Amino acid sequence: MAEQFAKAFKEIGVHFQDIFSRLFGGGTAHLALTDKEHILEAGVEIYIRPPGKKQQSLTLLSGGERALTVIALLLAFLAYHPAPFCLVDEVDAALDEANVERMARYLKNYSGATQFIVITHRRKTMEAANTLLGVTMEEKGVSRLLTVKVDELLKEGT
Amino acid sequence: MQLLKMELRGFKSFADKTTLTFDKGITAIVGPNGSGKSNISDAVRWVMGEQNVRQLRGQKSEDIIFAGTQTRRPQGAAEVSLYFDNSDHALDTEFTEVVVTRRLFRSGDSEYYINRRPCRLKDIHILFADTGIGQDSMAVIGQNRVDRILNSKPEERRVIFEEVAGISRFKGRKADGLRKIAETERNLERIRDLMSVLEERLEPLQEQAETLQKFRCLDSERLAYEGTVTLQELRNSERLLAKAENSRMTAATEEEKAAQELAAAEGKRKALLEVMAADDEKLRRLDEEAMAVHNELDSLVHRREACRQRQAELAENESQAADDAAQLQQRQAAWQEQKETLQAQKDQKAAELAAAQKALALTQTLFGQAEAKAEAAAKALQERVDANSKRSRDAFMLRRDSEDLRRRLEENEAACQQALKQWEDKKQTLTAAEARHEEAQAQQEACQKKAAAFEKQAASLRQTAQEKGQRLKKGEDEYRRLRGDVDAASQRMRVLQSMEQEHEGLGRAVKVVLTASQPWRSRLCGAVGELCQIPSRFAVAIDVALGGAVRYVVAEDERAAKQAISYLKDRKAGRTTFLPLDTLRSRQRTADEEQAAGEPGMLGFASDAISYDAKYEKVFSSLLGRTLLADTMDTGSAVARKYGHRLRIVCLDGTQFNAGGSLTGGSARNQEGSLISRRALLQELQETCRRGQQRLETLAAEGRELRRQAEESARELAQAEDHWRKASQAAEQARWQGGQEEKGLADIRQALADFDQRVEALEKERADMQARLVAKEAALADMETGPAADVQQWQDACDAAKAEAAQCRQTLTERQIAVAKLTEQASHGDDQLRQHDKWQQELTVQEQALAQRRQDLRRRQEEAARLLTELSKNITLKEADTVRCDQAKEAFYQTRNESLKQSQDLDGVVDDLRRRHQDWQQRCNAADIQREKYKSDISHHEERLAMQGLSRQEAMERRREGSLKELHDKVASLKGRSQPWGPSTRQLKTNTRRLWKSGTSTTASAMT
Repeated sequence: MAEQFAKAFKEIGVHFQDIFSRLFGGGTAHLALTDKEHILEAGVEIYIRPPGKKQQSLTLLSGGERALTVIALLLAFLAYHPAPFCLVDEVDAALDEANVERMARYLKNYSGATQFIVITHRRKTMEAANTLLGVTMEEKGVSRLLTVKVDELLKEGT
Repeated sequence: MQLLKMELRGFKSFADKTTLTFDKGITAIVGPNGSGKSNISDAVRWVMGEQNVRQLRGQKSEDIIFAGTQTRRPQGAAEVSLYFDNSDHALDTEFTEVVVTRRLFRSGDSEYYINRRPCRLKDIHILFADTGIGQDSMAVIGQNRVDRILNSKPEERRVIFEEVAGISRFKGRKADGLRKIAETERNLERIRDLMSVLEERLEPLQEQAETLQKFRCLDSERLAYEGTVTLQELRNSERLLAKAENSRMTAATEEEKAAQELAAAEGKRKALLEVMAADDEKLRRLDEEAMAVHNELDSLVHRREACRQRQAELAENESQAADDAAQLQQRQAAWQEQKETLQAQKDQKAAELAAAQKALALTQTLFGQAEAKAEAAAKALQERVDANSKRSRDAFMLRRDSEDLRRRLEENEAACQQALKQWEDKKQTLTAAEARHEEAQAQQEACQKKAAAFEKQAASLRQTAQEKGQRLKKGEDEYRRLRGDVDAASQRMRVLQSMEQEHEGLGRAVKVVLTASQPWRSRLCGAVGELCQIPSRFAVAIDVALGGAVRYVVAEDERAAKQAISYLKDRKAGRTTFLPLDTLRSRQRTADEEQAAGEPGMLGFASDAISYDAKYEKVFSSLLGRTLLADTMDTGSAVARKYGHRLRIVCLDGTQFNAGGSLTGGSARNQEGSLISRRALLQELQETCRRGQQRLETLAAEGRELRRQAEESARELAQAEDHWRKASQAAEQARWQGGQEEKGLADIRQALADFDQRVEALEKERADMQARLVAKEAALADMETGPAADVQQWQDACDAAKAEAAQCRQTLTERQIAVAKLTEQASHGDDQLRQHDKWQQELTVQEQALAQRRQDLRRRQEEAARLLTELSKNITLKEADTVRCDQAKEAFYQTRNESLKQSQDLDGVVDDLRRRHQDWQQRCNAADIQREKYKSDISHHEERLAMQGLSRQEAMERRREGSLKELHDKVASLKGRSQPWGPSTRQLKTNTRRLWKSGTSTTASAMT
């Protein structure tokens, strides 16, 4: 068990470092165990250095940086072991236009192995989606659903 | 595995059944704020087993169920299903499609289903564990999940990693196993304890068992005796019971007999009472009858009395009415008398009135004559007066007309004079105006000329200004471009400077040493690369020539170097080379080298190409003193070959010929990475910046000059334009004035012609007026010579006639007054007479009314008398009735008294009989009670026997001989002997039972 965990942890760490510096366009990040002697009880610490800044505590990151960090961690997990599906609720709210686009591109890359369900207000993210589900509230207090299959529309268009 | 679809029903805002279908790839859920998007993510987490309602944005579990709106009713349950495609068997089950459902009712019951089959929450956790979407995975990242992942403690964060690593399933199983082992160990411990306790107790229990054996023997003996006693007592009771039954039977027969007699007597008495009740009824009726007769009699007497009173009253009224009639007749007579007097008076007045009216008619004729006379006189007078006044009025008119004409003549003359004078004036004005008009025309021409000149000037000025503006714009463009360049350069320069300050690119060890704050730091001069100034042309070459030596640290002395080294060791911060100035020696150049430096294409020694502080002479001569610089690689190779490859030559492109024939080269490293290149770049940037700055300043000065010139031209232009405007304005004004003058001239000419006409008209008018004046004056003279009429005479005649008429009128008025007075008196007499007649009539009416009343009264009196006699007759009849009734009542009372006596006798007999009957009943009851008592005794004894565990048969078999008292004694003694063992045996039994039970249950649980 310890062996399996150590192996997984190491691989996730490598992915995380790689994805982080690509998402942030620089900077470094790595994962570490708080107690290397007892792998099965040790906690996990995340060390972050965004580009052009010094190493910071996680609580001092800006909203966009926090979101990007978590997205990097999520993508690292998916890279190690693709989950069947993944639902993200407005994680892109704090990101700027360029980062939203970058995130959408990454999600698209991973969407072969993992099904993504993204709740979003951002146009760039919607552009990356294959299907759009619209939730409306025509009657007060009651939600209704509207489905738009973007891929099929594109096919019809061409 | 793939999420196919999701069904929501009654979950939060999804009131109706809603199905979301998910395809491969990315599905975006969009919608306005508050439309329920996040409820979908909540739903997924809820199905996966989220227990904390706050994480689902609710306060209590009910908040998850659709709560209803104004138009919809709330739902009773919330249900969410997730459909997974499990054709790859990623989930540990044989189904190819897995449906996970969670349902919550308003009562708070929560149910989980896998493929529509109820299951536990734990089953769902196990199903999803290690698939990447388990309980603690990152599969669902909600809005606050980002913060929770980042802010949680390292140990909490670990759980996510375990899930991804796929060990959470093992971890759960391990925890379960450990818990079970601990529990089993605890159970074993308890069994061991119990066993030791039980073993300790075994010995005393053996002894107690023996005692028990003895006790049982004695107890059976006691039981036999007790049985005998009870049996005997039972038999006694049975005997007594039979006796009691006999006595009761006799009592019952006696009682029956008494009851029959009593019933007969009661029947007789009841018949009598009924007869008596009938009599009572009859008596009551008689009473009522008598009472009615008496009442009637009373009322008749009352009525008779009232009749009598009324008769008296009527008589009195009659006499009163007679009095009234007499009085009325008297008054009638008095009235008649008065009326006659009045009639006489009236006749007298009528005669007087006729006389007076005759006199009045006479006077009226006289007055008419006098008045006609006066009127004729007055008319004649008026005619005379009118003729006079007309003549004087005509004279006055004529006089006034002539005056008027004379005055107008004068006025006419004055007007003529004035018109002539004005004509002269106008003539003068005309000449002056003509002169002014000419002048104005001349001025207008001059002004126009001036305006044209100014306009030309303004156009030329405008052109100049435009040219200058263009030049200025060009200068500004250049300035902006340059400014951008300079800013970019200085930005880059700052970056490089900061890198240099932080000793970037020198390696960790050097950085640590140079940033240390130790006393020996002041004796370290810095890294070699930082101590020299290198022209950018040689930067690459020198960089290559120095190589790793760029990062060597120069120290003042060896001691400082050693201290720095030990510092590095302490910190484990790596290693570096130190160059202490006191131990370093410069190298001597060979003759070959000196000579090679002079070869064509060679650029001299590397140490000479750079500049540095003289203090570091030794450092650089030892590092670069023997390195030659060549301009191209070809030159370098030629020279190297010539001197037999004993020289170290570096070309400007970084190719290096080493002593011994080897050569190093290739593309240069990243410029910023290398310290030397960076420094050279920095220097270059500084130079660029400085030059840019200078150029900027010149441009700014030029710009300022141009701007000033532009301003000046603009000012001049404005001035010229102003002049032009003024001149054209003046021309316009002059033209306008010319037009005005011309109009004035025409006016004046017109006025002159008018004057001529006017003078002519005035003169004609004057002649006319003079002629009319002469005529008027002649007429006036004519008139004044006529005679004045004799008015006075006519006046006198008129006055006399008027006086006569006035006298006649006075007499007439007096007569009229007298006649009016008499007429009034006559009418007054008439009125009085009429009044009298009316009163008389009234009196007659009153008399008639009185007579009628009297008649009425008399009739009523007769009626009352008749009624009275009738009443008296009735009263005598009723009195006879009363006496009859009273007699009947008396007879009835006697029969009634007899019946009462008979009834009293019967009552005595009945009472006697009833006493006897009660006596027998009591006896019967007593026998019953005794019988009951004996029966209960018997059952009591039988119970005792049963309690002792014996049937009657057994008791007979075990019977012991002896009297009852002896038997009792024997039982008491046996009881005394077995007493002490009793309670202890009972306790022993219960103890044993309890121990047995606890032992078996513990063992059983331990076995599981």
